[in-house]
Amino acid sequence: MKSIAVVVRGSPLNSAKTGEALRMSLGLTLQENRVRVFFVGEGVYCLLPLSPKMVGMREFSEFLQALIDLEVPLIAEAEAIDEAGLKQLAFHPQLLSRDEIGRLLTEHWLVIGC
Amino acid sequence: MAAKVEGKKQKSLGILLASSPNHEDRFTALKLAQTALDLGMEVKIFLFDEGVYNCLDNEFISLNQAGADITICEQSAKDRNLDIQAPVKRGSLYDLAGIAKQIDRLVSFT
Repeated sequence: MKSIAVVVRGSPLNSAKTGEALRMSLGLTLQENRVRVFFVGEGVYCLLPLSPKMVGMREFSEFLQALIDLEVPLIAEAEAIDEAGLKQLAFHPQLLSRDEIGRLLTEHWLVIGC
Repeated sequence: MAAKVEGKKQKSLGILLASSPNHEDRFTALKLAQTALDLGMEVKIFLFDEGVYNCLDNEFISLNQAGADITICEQSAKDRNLDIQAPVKRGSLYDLAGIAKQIDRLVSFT
């Protein structure tokens, strides 16, 4: 079984990449791959209650919910959450420090940054 | 193209390309794939997100004739109203998951 880390680092409303990254994460679970999704930097804004449709983008909360339902580990950078002052998250991933995330990423067969 | 080494299992390389053809990733992915094919490796390419536009690039599609296996994410193409004429496989993220599962090495350009 391959371990794959998808690192979401871009702001969710700047481009369609974030939604595509979450769709890809879900897709990668369809065969025997162990997937983990990391939210770092501006990627942590994905965890807020957002309405991408309001700016003409595809909704991606359904992908996040499906990942949770499939028990795919979601991990967010604690420093990024603090720096952005995010309080009311719609999704509650495991919080790890930047250093811990860096260490964890080295354990994966493949790291996909989005 | 270099001949495959007899008696040894052919090594495989996967390339996930999610960057548009205007990005330098296109060139890197193209040259990487060509080199791997020249070394007798099996090459599987998955075009995803903005990367689906690479199916409009003849140089990129020529990798297909050189022996690479190119699959395009049909949903990404559909989202961009892209009419796929190129001789590539229409697939889904299930195919990407399969490539990841089977391949020796997978590199991503996103």
